[in-house]
Amino acid sequence: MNLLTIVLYTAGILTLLSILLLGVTIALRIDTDRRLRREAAFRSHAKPILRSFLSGEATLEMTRAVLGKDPHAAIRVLLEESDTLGEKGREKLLPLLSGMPVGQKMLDRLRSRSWEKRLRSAEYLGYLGDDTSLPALMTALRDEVLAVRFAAATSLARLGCHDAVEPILQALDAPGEVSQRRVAEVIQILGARASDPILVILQRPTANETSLGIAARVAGSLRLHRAIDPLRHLLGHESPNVRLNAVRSLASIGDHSVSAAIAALGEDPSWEVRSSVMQALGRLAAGGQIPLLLQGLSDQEWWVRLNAAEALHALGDPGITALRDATDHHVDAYGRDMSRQILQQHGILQPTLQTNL
Amino acid sequence: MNTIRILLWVILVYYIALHAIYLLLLLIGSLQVRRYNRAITFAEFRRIGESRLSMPVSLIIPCFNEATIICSTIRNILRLTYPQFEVIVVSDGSTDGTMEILAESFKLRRVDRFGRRYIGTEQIRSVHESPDYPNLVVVDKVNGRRADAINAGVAMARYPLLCVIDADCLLEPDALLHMARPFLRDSRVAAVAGVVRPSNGLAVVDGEIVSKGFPRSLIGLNQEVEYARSFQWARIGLSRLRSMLCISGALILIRKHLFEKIGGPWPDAITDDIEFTMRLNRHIHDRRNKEDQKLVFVPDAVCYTEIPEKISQYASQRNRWQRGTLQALWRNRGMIFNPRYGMTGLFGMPFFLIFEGLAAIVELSAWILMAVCLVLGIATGFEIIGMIFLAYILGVFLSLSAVLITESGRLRSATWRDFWRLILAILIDNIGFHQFHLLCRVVGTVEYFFGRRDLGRQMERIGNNHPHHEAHPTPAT
Repeated sequence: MNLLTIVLYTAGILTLLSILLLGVTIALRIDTDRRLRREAAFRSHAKPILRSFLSGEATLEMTRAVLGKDPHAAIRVLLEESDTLGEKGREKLLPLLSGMPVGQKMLDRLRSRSWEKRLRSAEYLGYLGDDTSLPALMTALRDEVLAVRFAAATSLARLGCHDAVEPILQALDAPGEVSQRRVAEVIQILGARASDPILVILQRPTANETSLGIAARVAGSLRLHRAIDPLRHLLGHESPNVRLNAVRSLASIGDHSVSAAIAALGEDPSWEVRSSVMQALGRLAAGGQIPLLLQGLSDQEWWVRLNAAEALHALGDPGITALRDATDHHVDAYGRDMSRQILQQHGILQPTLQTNL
Repeated sequence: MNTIRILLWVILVYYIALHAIYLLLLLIGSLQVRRYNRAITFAEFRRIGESRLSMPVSLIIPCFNEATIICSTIRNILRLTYPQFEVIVVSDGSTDGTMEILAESFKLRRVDRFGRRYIGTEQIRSVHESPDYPNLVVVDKVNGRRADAINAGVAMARYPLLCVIDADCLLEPDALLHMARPFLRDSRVAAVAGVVRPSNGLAVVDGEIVSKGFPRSLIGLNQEVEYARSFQWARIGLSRLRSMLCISGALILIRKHLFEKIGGPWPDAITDDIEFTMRLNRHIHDRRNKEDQKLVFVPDAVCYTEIPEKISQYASQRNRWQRGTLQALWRNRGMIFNPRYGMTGLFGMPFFLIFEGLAAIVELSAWILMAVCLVLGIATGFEIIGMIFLAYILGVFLSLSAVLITESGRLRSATWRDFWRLILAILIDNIGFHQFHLLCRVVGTVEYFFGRRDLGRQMERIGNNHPHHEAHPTPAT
């Protein structure tokens, strides 16, 4: 077979493939158009009847009959409604779901070999499930795929399972600030129900640094006054991440008695800790710490200088006076510039546009 | 005669290799898109949008003489759905009244603001804030090219993620949510790139995209096809192979500490985005650095950018891109075939050099060789036509694949009319337009070797801010 024959054969095959591809693309487009139209029509029908059901105007059978016409679209409508209604409203949807084959199907899918199916079902159970799905979700916390574990954790929190706090922390022990934030956010869904397990972790000497960091963060978000003592103790922890979260949480809880303990970290080797100390002192209105904040204005790290200046401003008159004074007399040029910047941002000083640097 | 035959075979092997890699990228890209879409959970983006813990973003918009479009761009950006972000517009010594227009539109007031300057830049003249938009900062500085303006914006940025976009860009309202998602899921993500599509054809009112459509001109439609091919499978495939060596400057989200660590974009670069992406790859894939980080491409974060619809502007742009590619390759030549950079050094850089940097020269050689073969009687007219048809149909097949992927997602064409226009553009892409593109790149290559390093002339902006634009409404997808 010579070169030309090969070229012509290849070109012929590619031509046929291109025509086929075009056909598939057109078919896909037609199908997508139809699907969108069908879904829009279903929604326009299902949403009002669902609302009527929730307000008690429509009967269970009537609503089930409408939703049963398109189970796939119905699941999405129910998920959206469940998401909008929140925890208490979700319970109103349970009678609707119990009649649909969704629940059992989801539990079965949680054991699927496809991680995507497991992910989807772990997630849906948080919206559509009830207490019977808790054991399966607890098992899913040991899934090999992190995304599935996250979805299971979120669903457990959504279903109000406070026993899951520790298993969640163990299951999602991933490194990195962002991962820890995500875990904290999951546990926060539990609200006050997470308080006791969080306190237990904060007081446990053997707890690892990731768990402590997350627990400290959650304690702050929940403004857990009972956590003040353990958090104060964590200010001396060897891990900067734990110290950082302890400082932030104590500032969020807002107990003024901890100001001095926080200020003791003003010269911490980690700039992130120093920066959050400055922020915390501002939030706690620690008027007695003005010298430390003025010292922070000349920190080598920009963020510490910024937060020190912001904290001084947050202290009100005494802090603003100190800032005004610092614009002219601070020993450090960076400190003078930062003081001026913050005073201008708050409209206290007019721009001069002359840098001290 | 034998030399010509050998050359003919070399070029044939080159084409086979190129298209085999394209087909591989197509396969990987389509699988990645499918995998990406299936991993998105219900209400995930809404949760990112509502979360207090989502990482805040500093959006940096460098601009030089963009008075006609800058306000529309800023209004579009201020409409983004994201929990916390700031917009830093850097006027790079504009002389067309950009600063005056900004001052009037956003009631700017001058402030003293001193950022943390890790990277040196040209002098910053003044910093301005808007009382109406507390998250808007405008920096006026002495002219120093786009990269310098970006670096000046970074000095003013306060947040851990930086998003750099061009002054003519419009983002989908949820673009930042989609781009931030990989950072929340994987702490190893260093930077995220998104999809760039032509904005010519959109109708924009007060910064809001009210309807979508494709460019009207043929040259615009051809670029629509080109962008679809590049962004629908090529980039995502390359990112999977750790070889995404060109992240468009029109849309990138990157960790600030990393940006500062590698020194920001190089102000003397002809195309700073290509050079910066290569250096970014160089840093994160260098085994000695032990960074274990990755670049991610997100197929549903969409940015629209204005494309040239005049032949002269198009030629100038492609000429610059070609020179910029060669410059970036030369500056980072140490990576080519270097196992220290893993897949990037052994596949990505050689691929970029052979099939991007030198593609124009090889293709031109192929055309010349075919003519020589015809004249010398080595090949018949029928054989030459057969070869040209093969190249044509390969191009059509790859472009149709891109359309298929596009149609299965939310970037599908708005109407059947647009769809058929796109198909028409694919069919005629290789009859004239592609050859003109080749010519621009050949000229760019020659000029680069003769020492041309300027940025060419600036593109004339048309803008999309026309409420009565006859674009077609997009159905909900």
